Amino acid sequence: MTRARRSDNALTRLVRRPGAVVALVFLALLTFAVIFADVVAPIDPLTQDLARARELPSAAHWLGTDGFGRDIYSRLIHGGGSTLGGALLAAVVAMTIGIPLGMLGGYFRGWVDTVVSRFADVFQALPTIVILMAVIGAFGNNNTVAMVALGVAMCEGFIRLARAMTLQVRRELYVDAASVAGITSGSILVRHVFPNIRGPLLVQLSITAGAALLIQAGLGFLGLGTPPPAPSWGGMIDEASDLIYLHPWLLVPTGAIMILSILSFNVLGDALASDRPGGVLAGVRLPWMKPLPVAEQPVAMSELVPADPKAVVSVRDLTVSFTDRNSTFAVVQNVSFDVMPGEALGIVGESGCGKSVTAKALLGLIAPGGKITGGQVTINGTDVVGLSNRELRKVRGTTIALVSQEPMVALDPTFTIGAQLRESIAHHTGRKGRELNDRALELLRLVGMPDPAQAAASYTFQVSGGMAQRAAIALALTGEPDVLVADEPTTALDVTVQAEILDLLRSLRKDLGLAVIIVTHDLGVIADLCDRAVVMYAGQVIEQGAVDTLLTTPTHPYTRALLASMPSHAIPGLPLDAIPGAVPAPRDWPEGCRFAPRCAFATDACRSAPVPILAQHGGLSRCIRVDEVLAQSRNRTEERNIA
Amino acid sequence: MTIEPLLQVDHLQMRFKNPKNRRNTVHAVDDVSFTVAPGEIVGVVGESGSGKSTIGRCILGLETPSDGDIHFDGSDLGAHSKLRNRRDLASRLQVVFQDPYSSLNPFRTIGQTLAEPLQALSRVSDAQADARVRDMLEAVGLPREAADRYPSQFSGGQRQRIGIARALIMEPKLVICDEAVSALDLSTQAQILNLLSKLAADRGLAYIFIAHDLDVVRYISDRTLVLYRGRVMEQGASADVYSRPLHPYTAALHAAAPVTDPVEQRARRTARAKIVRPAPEIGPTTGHAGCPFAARCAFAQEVCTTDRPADTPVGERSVACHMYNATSGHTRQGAGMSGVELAVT
Ligand SMILES: Nc1ncnc2c1ncn2[C@@H]1O[C@H](COP(=O)(O)OP(=O)(O)OP(=O)(O)O)[C@@H](O)[C@H]1O
Ligand code: SF4
Ligand code: SF4
Ligand SMILES: [Mg+2]
Repeated sequence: MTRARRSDNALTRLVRRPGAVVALVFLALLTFAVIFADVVAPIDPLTQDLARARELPSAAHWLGTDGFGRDIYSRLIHGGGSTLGGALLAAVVAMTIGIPLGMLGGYFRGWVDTVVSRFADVFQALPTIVILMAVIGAFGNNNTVAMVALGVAMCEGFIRLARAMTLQVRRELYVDAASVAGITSGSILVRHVFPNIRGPLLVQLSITAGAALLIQAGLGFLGLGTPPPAPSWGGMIDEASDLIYLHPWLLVPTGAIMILSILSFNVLGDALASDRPGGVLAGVRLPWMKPLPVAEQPVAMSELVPADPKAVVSVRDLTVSFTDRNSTFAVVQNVSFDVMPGEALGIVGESGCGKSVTAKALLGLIAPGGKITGGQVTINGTDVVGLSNRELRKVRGTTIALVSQEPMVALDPTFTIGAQLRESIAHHTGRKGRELNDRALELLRLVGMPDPAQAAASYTFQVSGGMAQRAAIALALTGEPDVLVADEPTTALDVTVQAEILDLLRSLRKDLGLAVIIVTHDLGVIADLCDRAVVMYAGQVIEQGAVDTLLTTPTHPYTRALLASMPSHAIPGLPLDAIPGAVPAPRDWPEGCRFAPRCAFATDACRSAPVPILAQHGGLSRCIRVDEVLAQSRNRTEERNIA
Repeated sequence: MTIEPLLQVDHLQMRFKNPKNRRNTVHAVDDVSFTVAPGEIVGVVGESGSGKSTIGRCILGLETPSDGDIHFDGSDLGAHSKLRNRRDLASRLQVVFQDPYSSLNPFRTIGQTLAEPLQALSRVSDAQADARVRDMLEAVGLPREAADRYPSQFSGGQRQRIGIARALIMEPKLVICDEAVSALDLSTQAQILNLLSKLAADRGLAYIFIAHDLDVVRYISDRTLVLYRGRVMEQGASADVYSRPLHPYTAALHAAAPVTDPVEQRARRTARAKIVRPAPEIGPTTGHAGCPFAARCAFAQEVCTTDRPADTPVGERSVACHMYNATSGHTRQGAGMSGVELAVT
């Protein structure tokens, strides 16, 4: 059997969280003190000294004395056993009954589930305090019995949670894979389901322990559970509340220790719940690791793209950086391009190359933790970098609009498509009444809805993915923008539907003069829709040019390799021209040419210094060996022509 | 004499009840028949919701079919199967899933995940299992130390390699690859396709290769099944299906997949307009009679909406379209739709 590396077990992961460490230390100290109460608090908790009643803390009585002159510190420590132990007992009983039942119900469903759910219903219907009173009535006032009963009464929460979580996890593919592999249901439950529902159950455990602590204290307050004069936290709160005006201090130590205990349970539960093995991802650095040197600023690209006053979008040296606990690192660097009115520009590359960050930055949309750290983005003459959110909102929608991969995210499932369009039209254009509706129908017709009236009356969940994307495009058009940014608008769609959406974007360009910036990983989509393309790799533009030449005679080895790795270009039976390795994460970008580790043309010169992007062969290319690349392509074509 | 097929699927049916409307059932798989020979790679293409995954899940026993027969390597797995315990199948029939993220248990090391079926099904010692796990990891192009790490420490492409290792460690005869490369980037996809091809050739594996990308299926599979709304529209040798589509839906799929040559792409766009009606579909057709593609087909006639097209043999292929059936009453005779040009007389 293989074993996890030593440094990666639940405990070592836990101690990386400062909050959890404090909670753990607190609970450990408390447990220690309670177990060795006689040593830690040698004063007898029952000894009264009426002469020294209601004293504030002193050297003799660290936390003062109560109404009978008993030492509060000692009573807290000695009373902790029954209180904490009782609360834990109740929580453990609830867990032991609830988790297996809930998991069985959720996993096997059918009649097992029905029985389990009815069982849970019974305990939900009966008030906890009634159950407790009945049990105390039957078995006498005994803390252990009361706490076991409390546990049974509280098992309902565990049943429901375990059941709901199991229902969810059993749909995971690894559960399917295990059952295909012939693993028994029991093993699947223990090995695959339980570890994945453990987190929320631990939170439930801490909540239950906290609640049990309160109920236990409540019982003490009622004079039940632990019979006085034996100390218990609940009993002490009861006594303190009697003296609240005479000696308010009395409430402080007991209240504080209860609050701290409950808090510690919750913090610990939270930390355990979010625990994941292998959390130390490649590329994620811990504080004590040496930070990576951020790759040197590459040569500015802006000079290569001459300013054109006609451009509707003009991006110059756009740099976007993210900050985490340890450092700030760029994910997009010195990106420059222009888009003319009515033009379609494609941004293409593999995942993680910075396409979406670039596209969203055009609208001033940057995820939390990120920031535009350099460059300008000029939309219709206005530089939007550094605009406030209010100013940005004016630009968004009316000048530049966004369509995303998931139309369902842009659309609200609780309103009809028509209602959302009308609201947005009213917001952008100030139209009212009938005009609103007419415009909404006009837009739906424009995006090719076969029956605009019916579409307007539909909710998003009633239409297919392609229709939803049309509706999302209609919504983006409500503010009559000049530029539409479409981030993978067809990736979630089937090819036949994708073709229709691309047709739609083409007709919008023609009919409205709309400029389109489309982000995609599919070079075919670029060929279909775009005039020009920007190819990105590891946060940089590596090639830029007219689509007709870029896709037929690429100058950059990455563009060339991407084209070659497409299965449509492959001959069955022969291996595909795969690019070795993978796109590096931003922190692992190499010093020199970022593509060098994967490039078939790489030489030492490529690795020694950042490679600038240069105007060459009719386009822009970030490669020092363009001539060799083109020569090899020519040879290949000749070979193929001869063969 | 023909070779005994490894897998034979006959008239497979899978109906799901619509939870919101009891009377409305979804025909996820509607009378699907095909075979897989030992060592053969059969591709299944179709758009999302066409029933591709459901066919795979029925074969794997993750769903119980509503009707139909499935025979795999001497075992009956169909709707009326008496087989209670599929454990002994596990070593012969395996799966690689699409989602490299949800298909690995985040709480178990790669070694634990891979060793689990080995230890459950064959009595091997810990040391033997560990050695086989590490050998398998090497075979899929990962370092042997990968066994000690957790899924979160791997990229999507690496996880897919792990998924392949898990499927192959039991030395199965048939592996169902359900969109096994669809979630991957182009360069990673090429790496995984090469790996799958190599493993199939080295080990004599058969695959059912489920994908929505016609190019991927053409590249990897010997034969292709084209699925639309739970029905097989066309099946035959991949090279033929791709170079000379017979069924209008296959031709539409082909013409809709964009190519990277801008000039050729413009030609495809023109061709597509001739096969698919320009008006987009209005919604899922619920009717069971007729051809499922009729709402979008440029060649649809009266008979297409009333009669279900029979699977008609055309050469080595089988096509479910009235145009290929002389007695159907359709006035056109299909003669294949080669690439971008339509040859309908
Ligand atoms: N458990 C289920 N309950 C109800 N309907 C289902 C269930 N599973 C699948 N379906 C329906 O069956 C049809 C076929 O589904 P299936 O998952 O096989 O499609 P697919 O071709 O694999 O699609 P994708 O490419 O999106 O994975 C769909 O209409 C789907 O909604
Ligand atoms: S600069 Fe060198 S390593 Fe980079 S792409 Fe060009 S040839 Fe390859
Ligand atoms: S049967 Fe009719 S509708 Fe269906 S594909 Fe053939 S011609 Fe088109
Ligand atoms: Mg599927």
